[in-house]
Formats: sequence, C-alpha cells, structure tokens
Amino acid sequence: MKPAARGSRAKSVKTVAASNKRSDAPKPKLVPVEEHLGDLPFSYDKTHLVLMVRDPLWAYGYWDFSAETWNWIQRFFQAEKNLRSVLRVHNLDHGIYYDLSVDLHAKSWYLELGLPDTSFEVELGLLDASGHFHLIARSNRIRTPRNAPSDVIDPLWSSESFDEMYRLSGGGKTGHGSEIFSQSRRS
Amino acid sequence: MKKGSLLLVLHAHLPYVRHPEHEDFLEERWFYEAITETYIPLIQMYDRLLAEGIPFRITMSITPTLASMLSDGMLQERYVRHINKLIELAEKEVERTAQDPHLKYLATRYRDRFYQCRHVFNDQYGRNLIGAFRKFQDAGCLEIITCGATHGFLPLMKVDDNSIRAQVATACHFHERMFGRRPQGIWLPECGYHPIYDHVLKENGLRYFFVDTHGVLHATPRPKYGVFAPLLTPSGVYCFGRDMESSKQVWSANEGYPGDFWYREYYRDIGFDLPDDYIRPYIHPDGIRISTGIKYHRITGRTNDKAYYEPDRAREKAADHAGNFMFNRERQAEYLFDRMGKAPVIVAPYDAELFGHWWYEGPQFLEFLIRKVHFDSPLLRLTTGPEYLDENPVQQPAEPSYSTWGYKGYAEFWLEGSNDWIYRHLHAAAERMKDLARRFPHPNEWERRALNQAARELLLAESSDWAFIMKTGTMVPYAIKRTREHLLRFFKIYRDMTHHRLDTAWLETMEAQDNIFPEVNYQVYAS
Repeated sequence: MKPAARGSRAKSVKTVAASNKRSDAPKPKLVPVEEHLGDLPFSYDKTHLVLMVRDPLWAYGYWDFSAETWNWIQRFFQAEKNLRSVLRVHNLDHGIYYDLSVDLHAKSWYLELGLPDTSFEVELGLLDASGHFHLIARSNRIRTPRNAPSDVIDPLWSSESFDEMYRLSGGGKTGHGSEIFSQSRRS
Repeated sequence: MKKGSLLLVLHAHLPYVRHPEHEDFLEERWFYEAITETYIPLIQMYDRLLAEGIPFRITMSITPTLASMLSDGMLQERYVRHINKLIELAEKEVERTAQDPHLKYLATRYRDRFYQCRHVFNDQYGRNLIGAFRKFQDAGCLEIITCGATHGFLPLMKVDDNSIRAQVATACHFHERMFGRRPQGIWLPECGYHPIYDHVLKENGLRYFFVDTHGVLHATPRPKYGVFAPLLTPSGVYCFGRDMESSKQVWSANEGYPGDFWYREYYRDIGFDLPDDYIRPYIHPDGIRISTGIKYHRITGRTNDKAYYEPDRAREKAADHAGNFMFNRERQAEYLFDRMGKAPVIVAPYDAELFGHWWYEGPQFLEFLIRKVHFDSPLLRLTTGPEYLDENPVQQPAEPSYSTWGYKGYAEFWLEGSNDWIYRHLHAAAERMKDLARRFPHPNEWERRALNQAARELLLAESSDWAFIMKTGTMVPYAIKRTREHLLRFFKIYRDMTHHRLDTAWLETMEAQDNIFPEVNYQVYAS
C-alpha cells in the first residue's frame, strides 16, 4: 500500500463524519403511507397479453382488458351461445397452432409449451360455435431457451472433444445458487 | 509453469432495507449481521494479505443497494448501536459462563471479536466500509464489479420499457460515484441472462459478465472450451461461465465443506436458547426470538445433540478444506491444460454472505486458500476478469443462452404461484415511467424531483429479493409490503404528475425515506 493511500483514507473518514451531521437537520415526518394509497389496481384499463419465458418448456402469460374490451366481451357472451375463451398458441418455427381453453377471469396462465429453442406467439380470443376465432389480444413473441448444446459449430472454433469439455464443465447437471441457503439467509 | 487461473467471485448483496420511520427494524439486522460476520472478516483478511505483500486477486460484486446501505449515515449509526448491544451481551455472557471453562472461552472470543468489529468499523474505516473495499481496489487486489441497481431480475423485465437499461445504467453511474471508477464487470442479478439485452451492457461500458454453466454450454455456436474460456458475445462483451465442480464443493449442503461436523452450527444461537428475562433486551423489542450471532455449538452430526464448538479444530478443518480445494483445482487445471492446449480459467462464484454469516469459518477458508495458492501452488494462480482478458483478448464469438443460477437454472424461482402476481404491476409501472420520462423532457425543479423519486420507487419495487422471499416462505409479509408500497408510491407520483398536482410535502418524506441513488436520472427511461 502506498503512503498516499493512508492520507486519503484519513481524509475520507473526516468527510464521512461530517456528512453524518445531516441528522441534525430537521427531519421530514416519516409515516407509513400505505393506509391512504389504497391497493394496487385490479386492472390497468388496457387490453393486452404479455408472455414471459419461465424455462425451456414453460411460459407464463398474463392479460388485462380495457373497460371497452371487457364490455365487448360481455356483450359477445350474451349474444352468442357456446363461446369458448382460448389461448391460441402459435409455434412460429413450425407454422402450427393449437388452442388451450382458459378462464378469462384467471387473467394469467402457465403454458406448457414443451419445446426448447422455439419461437412462440399467443393470442387470447373467443371461439364461437362455428369455429371462428375472435381475437382479444396478441402477445409479444418469445423464444424458449435451449436446454442442450447448439448444433451450430464454428469451423474456427470446432473441437473433436466437445462432448468431453461439456461433461468436464458440468453439462447436464443443475448447479446451486443462493436459493439453497435461502431459508435462513433471510430469516 | 501455471496451468490454470482461478477466478473467485464473491457476490455481496442485500436488498435495500432502511427504515428511518422505525427505531428498531427486524429486517435491518440482515445488514448488521452481514457487516459483523462477513464484510468485516473479509476486510480484515484483505488487510492482512495486503500488509504481508501477498498480491491476492478476488472479484467482489458489491451491489448498489448494499453500497448505498454501507455509505448511509443512519445505518452506520445504527450499526454502532447494534454492535454496542452485542458487546454488552457478550460481556454478560463472559460472566454468566464463568463456571464453565469451555463456554467462557467461547464467550470471551465473541466479546473480543465484537470489540474488534467496532474498532474496524469506527476507528479504522470511519464507519464507511466502502472506503475499505475501495482501498483494496486501488491497491490492485480487489476487482469490484457492479450488479443491477436494485438487483432486479432482468430476464423477466421487458426490454422495450427501458427497465433493464435503467437497472444497468443507474448501477454503473452509482458504482463510479462510490468506488471512483466505472465498473468493468457486472454480476447479473441471480446470474439472470437473456441474449436480448447484452447490448445494454456494452452501451454502459461494461467489458464482461458471468453466466451459469449452461448459459455458456448452450451457447450458439458450441463453445469449444466449455466453461473454461470466456465467450465474446455479439455485442462485444465477454462472458465467463461458472465451473460446476468448484461450486459444488462449497455450495452443496451435503457434500460441501460447510457441512463439516467440526464447523460452527448456525442454528443454535443463544437468542433462542437462553431464558426470556435474560435475553429479552437483545432480541426484537416485540419479544420475537432472533439470532444474536453468539453460537456455542458445532454441527456435530445429523441430530439435534450438539457438542461445544472448538475454534482451533474448526480452523484446522478450514485449512484442510482449502488445501483440498486447491489440490482439486490443480488436478482440474492440469487435466484441462492437456485437453485444451492452453490454460483454463476456472470461475468459482459464491454469495459473499455464505462466508462468515452462513459458514462461519468461510473467511478462514478463503484466507488459507489465497495463501496456499500464492506460496505453494506451482500450477495455479488467482486472476480477475480484466487481468485474464488483457492477457487473452482473443476468445470465441458466441451468443450465450438464457440462464440463471437459480432453481433448475431458469426463472422458475421468481415466477411461480407465490410471486407471479407482481409482474403485471411492475410492467405497468415501467411503462408509465417511460411515458412520464418522455412527457417531461424539461421539468421544473419539483417535477424533476418527483420524476427521480418515481424512478427510485420503481427500481426498489423491482428488487428480485421480494419475489425470492415470497417463494421461500419466510418473512413473506415484508416482501409483499415492500413490493406494494414502492408500486403504490410510484403510481401516486404518476397520477400527481399527470394531473399537475404534486404533493410536495409527501414527496419530501419519500425522498428522505426511500433515499437510494441521490443522483438517479429518470431520463434513462426516455431513451
């Protein structure tokens, strides 16, 4: 350590001590505020469907409606019998889709997509008796993560021993992060 | 000849817990305990190594929330109050245990230890431990990196509302203010990486980051050297992957070192063991039993029958384990060197609070390891990201894969039944923040303060810790309260700004209460 560092440390100590004197200044009144701020809104009055990637096989989607959309849905249900609310899952890589029945009131759903490394888009809508799909909201596009090594090989960085490097790196096993100590760390 | 480099990373993080509105706040103790049990022991270790001229190389992410707390005058004052109470309790313990030589020996050690902590905190570093870490940084031994501003879990944020940019830019700016230089590296909160935002890292001048093992192994194209060499991402930032083997030896609750029967037992604490009338002044004022940090037993075995702790035996174990860890890394490096035709870099990241708080002997283990590598290892050396990259700038270009270091390697821990409700609100708030930032490019003074406070409230609501706690099931009401309060405060500012009726008295209160990031700039949300 250089001698200069000691000097600068002593100086910084003084600065900190001085800054602590701020506590002498009049303090604003500190009160818990949640009592008068109400609760989080049930709806943000916007029609949309948001898709989030959970892991290579699952996604989570949540949706919300504007008052206008919700009125339209209500009217539609009154006018049409045998309406079914669905999430239409589009597999964009394979150009196919399938429908999952959902309860609109749930406002969120976990989707077992089952395909890693694949792009998806989901539509929330109503299926009528004749099979017509009436769109309510279209999601953002997502891509599920890969759960295995890529097939793409860079010729400048190719290796005959990739399988061994994969194994030596711990490939195929699950590691541990902070969650294994979570119970007590925050208790 | 050195056959490999070991890159040790300690991720030091606590959520921003600071409650001036309460005299004594239970959750603030996380911070006080971490200072006593982890940060000060690490600082003392670094000081000893520095004094002996041992050029150690350790990487620490000191998150902006933790750095804010460490530099906060009120929390510094409260830590002194806390350590004084502990000293008082330890003095009583020395008396109480007078008839039992072993217990008295342990009580005396705790008492001496707490006096030392107070000395390091008060006298040596003038209550500001940031200065300590900065000293080791300036000496070239400690590589301090940043993290998301409030440890927001980036993979579940939306890219288009600039939340990710705000987390990263605010963190880098604050880091520079705290540590006197821009960070070169970042520890992504929960190691959560998604390829759609690594350009944000580049934009902020970051040079490297870390991902979990599978983030590198599942990169496109295939990584030639597995996790034993960094990748160069498409945006031009380097990415290091975690080595599973060295992680497991320390992390694993069953096979890992911290579970050794000679080590101190975390769960037996006099805060729970001693009679109420005696311990009452040292637990929570409401009578809630809590850990005091004074623990007299060792792990002993798998039953509740615990023997007294024997510090010297535990220390020997820490030395053995450090030797074992180094031996294994040397064998690993030798083997990899042959297979790769060049020296591997072995990346071993851990939560800093594991060392000392959880694993009481952890700092001793680290010190033995650093000394052994320095004095005894012909094959291994410690390195940091910048040092390694300066020497090895040519790395394989590839795009890492979405990954975290959490349960099953993805986002499940932060997105499941207990916590999924938060995201619709967080996203709605972020969208409104962007809207505000664009609507008010030239605010007046009060509007600017309100907009910056809105940014603080949003950032604080985004801490991954709240979702994490909701999932773990302990202290859940606190995590829910924090999420709700910050969001509600944000939405109030949004409404007030929209209707041009700022509540300035309330705003001042919020500025004093949620006072993180004094220089936050809401305009980061406008870009």
